[in-house]
Amino acid sequence: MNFYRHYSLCIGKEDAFVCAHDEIFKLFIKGDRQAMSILVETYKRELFNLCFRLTFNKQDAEDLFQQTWIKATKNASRYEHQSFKPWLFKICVNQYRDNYRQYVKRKKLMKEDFESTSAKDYVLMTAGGTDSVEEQYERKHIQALLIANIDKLPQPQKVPMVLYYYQQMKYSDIAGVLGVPEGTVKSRINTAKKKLKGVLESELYV
Amino acid sequence: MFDIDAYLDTIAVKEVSPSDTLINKTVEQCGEVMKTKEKERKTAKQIKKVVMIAVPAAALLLIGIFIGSQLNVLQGTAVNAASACFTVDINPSVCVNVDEESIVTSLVGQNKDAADLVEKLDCIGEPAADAIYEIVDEAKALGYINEENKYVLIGCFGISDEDATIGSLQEKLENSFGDMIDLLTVSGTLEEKTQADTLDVSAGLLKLSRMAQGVDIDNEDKVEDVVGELKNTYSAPTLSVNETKDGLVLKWTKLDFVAMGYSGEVTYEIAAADTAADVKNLTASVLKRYTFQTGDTQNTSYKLTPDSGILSGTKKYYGIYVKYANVAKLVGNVVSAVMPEVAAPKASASPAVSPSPTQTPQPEQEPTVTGRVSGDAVVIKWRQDTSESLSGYKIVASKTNPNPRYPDDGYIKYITNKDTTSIKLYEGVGGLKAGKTYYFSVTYLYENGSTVAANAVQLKVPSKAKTPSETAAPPAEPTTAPTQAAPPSGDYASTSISGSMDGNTARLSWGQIDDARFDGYKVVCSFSNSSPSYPGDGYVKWITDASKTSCSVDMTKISGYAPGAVCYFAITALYDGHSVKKTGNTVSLTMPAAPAAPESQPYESTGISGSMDGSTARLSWGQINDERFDGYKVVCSFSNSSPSYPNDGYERWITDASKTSCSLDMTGISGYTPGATCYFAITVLYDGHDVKKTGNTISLPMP
Repeated sequence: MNFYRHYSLCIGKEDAFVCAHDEIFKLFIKGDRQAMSILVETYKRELFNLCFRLTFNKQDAEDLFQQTWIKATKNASRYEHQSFKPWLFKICVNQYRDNYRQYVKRKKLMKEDFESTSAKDYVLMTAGGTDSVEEQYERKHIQALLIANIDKLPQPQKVPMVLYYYQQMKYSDIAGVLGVPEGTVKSRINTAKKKLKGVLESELYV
Repeated sequence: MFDIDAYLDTIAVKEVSPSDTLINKTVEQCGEVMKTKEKERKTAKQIKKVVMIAVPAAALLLIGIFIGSQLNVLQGTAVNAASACFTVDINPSVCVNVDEESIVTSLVGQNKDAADLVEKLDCIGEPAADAIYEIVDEAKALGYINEENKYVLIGCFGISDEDATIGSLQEKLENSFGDMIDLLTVSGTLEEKTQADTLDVSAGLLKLSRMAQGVDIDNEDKVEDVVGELKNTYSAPTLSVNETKDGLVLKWTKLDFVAMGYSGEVTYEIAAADTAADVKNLTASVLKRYTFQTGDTQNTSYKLTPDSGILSGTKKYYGIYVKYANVAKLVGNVVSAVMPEVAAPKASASPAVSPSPTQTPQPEQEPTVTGRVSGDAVVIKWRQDTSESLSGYKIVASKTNPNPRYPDDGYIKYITNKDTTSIKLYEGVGGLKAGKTYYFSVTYLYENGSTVAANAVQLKVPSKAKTPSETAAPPAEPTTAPTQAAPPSGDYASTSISGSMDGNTARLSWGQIDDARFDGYKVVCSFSNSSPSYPGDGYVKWITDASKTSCSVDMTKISGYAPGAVCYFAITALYDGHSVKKTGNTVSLTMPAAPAAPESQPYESTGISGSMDGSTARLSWGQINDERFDGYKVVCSFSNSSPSYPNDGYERWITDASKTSCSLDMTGISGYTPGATCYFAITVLYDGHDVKKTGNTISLPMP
């Protein structure tokens, strides 16, 4: 296949994938395993991070990652020429919604709530250089609390928060993934923020 | 005040990386999904077992080739290691060789045109339906298919799933070419294909030619040449339909089998459907079947009445299917007619078979009828027949027929007492109207169903006296219910119906109407209208005998019948020459439920076994054979001694039911440490993952 030769020439370039974009999707839709393999490789980090940020559990994230790709492969014929990543994320989020009750039940059963002490491991320090060490520690502590509490939000609020704050997606893109109007995304994020603010105020200022 | 935005806006979560094991597993599982999809794509849904051949000649001839059991047996013995094939005959004749999954392995042009055509195509590896489509498309582009040459003959030789391929192909061709082509299909064995190869002719054309009883062909013959011969060989009778007072009569022409060169068994099927297309496509309901040998007398007519299950007022299309000894099935022209309202009374219990002359018992004396007007009644007398085979006397009246007889003219009274030889008939009885002149007669009915009609007398029915005492029952007919005549003025009464189901038969009864203006009861039923009435909902019985206040209806013959369905019944009473209609209450009856479906098959789990081979776990389990099966989740856990999916995740997702083993590199499994014990199980998923069944657990020590 000329495509693979073309793709191999693209490897190493910044737009390696983009340069072969159209061909690879066509092949994937037709059921080409090599094309599927390239797509999994290309999107593995972004998708796995989304899976992990939705579940904050390695095993669940791996399950969700596999389920997403299996569903994408099964439904490849339904893929039309929209952007591939939102389509893939949409499948992932829908699968997460399907699994959500199981995750909640499992966490309850195993008493594995994602606590802020665990969340600290995932907080990336981005504070400005003017912060003192104490301030940095305080910020990390609060952000870990936020991450732990975002994980406990009900699914309709949690998913937009994850997509907006962790995945840095735009409101319009989130609306596309969730299949709801942009206003609904904003409203859910505001509701989540109010809820988090209440929780954190009670934890921080008792 | 806590500024949440200040923290959220700067929040960042560390990135995590998926393991290579996860990526490899994912790619492997998606590969399996692709494999399964490919298999599913090849398995098109099943279509009807009769493969149709449409031969749209002037007479709208349609032919179907039966894949009879005999042929299937031959297929079974003849199939060998050689590949099966489809033949495509237009004028180019192409042989499409396929593997056991109907994937094209080679294309062979069987004449020069075909050889040229095949060179332009690259169909190897494609499903057969796609390849055949491309051949037809190319043939059309090259001008082989045009207004004069529209036939495309597809032959299936040794094909195990020909219905699926042909079904898929028909859809494709219809969508793309519509009326531009006429598709014919034939089916045969690999043995027949081999014979055709020996003769250097197309197997499809050879098969078709054999239907035309040995038309000689060569490899340049066109399909229409053979079809022409075929049409000359087999034919269907020409059908016509006539309306009678009892219903409809279908008549057809006799076939000259000798001229046709055919001898053997022939079956005529009288078929009816709501559309002409259903009749033409051989999918109409068969009302009557006649099977006979070519030397036998041919039936040439069939009488249809509302009792045949076709409601009055219903338009149907009729055809006659002719089957030639499991070789061909044809339908000739299609006719349509509306089932008329049957004016003459008919008793459902009475025999309607006309006698054959040799079977008719002769009355001991010539049946004779006399009559006179006596007061406000007509008195009919007849000669007694004391023969033992006599069932009774049918009293018949007609305004127009000077020689009325049962069953052609219905009847107004049925007298089963053989000693009764006279009857007094008042206006209103059996719909008799005062001041009207009728021909009265008596038909003698015998046990074998044969009838002998007596002469007729013409009498004018007098008006009936209004006093109740004068409305007593006719003395000679004690079994007849007395009629309570109402004055011929005032309100028209409706009547109340009640009923019950007796198996699939509805037993209905209603109150008698005694009114001189009464014409009859229309028994109405509907599965869709909860307040049915005549004429809007048609009727299933028309009863003109006011004293007959019950009837039975075989519900399986009623349109819309389904086990468990609710049917609504009512009686519409007709008055004054049908000008007044009064419908009474409605009664609903539930049809008997279908036999309970067998209990659904339980969902099975599967047993796992395994061993360690270094740091690799070799696992195997029992195969699941269940249509509802989705896949096996291979589950393992170092912490849970009873692992299952989804709680413990999974290591492999296998959707191929026949794949019952796998190997796991345990060093890539989360929690692996040398010497640890790992627990394994298989969770079987069914019904779109809705059902999960986990079998036994095994534990294996890590090296």
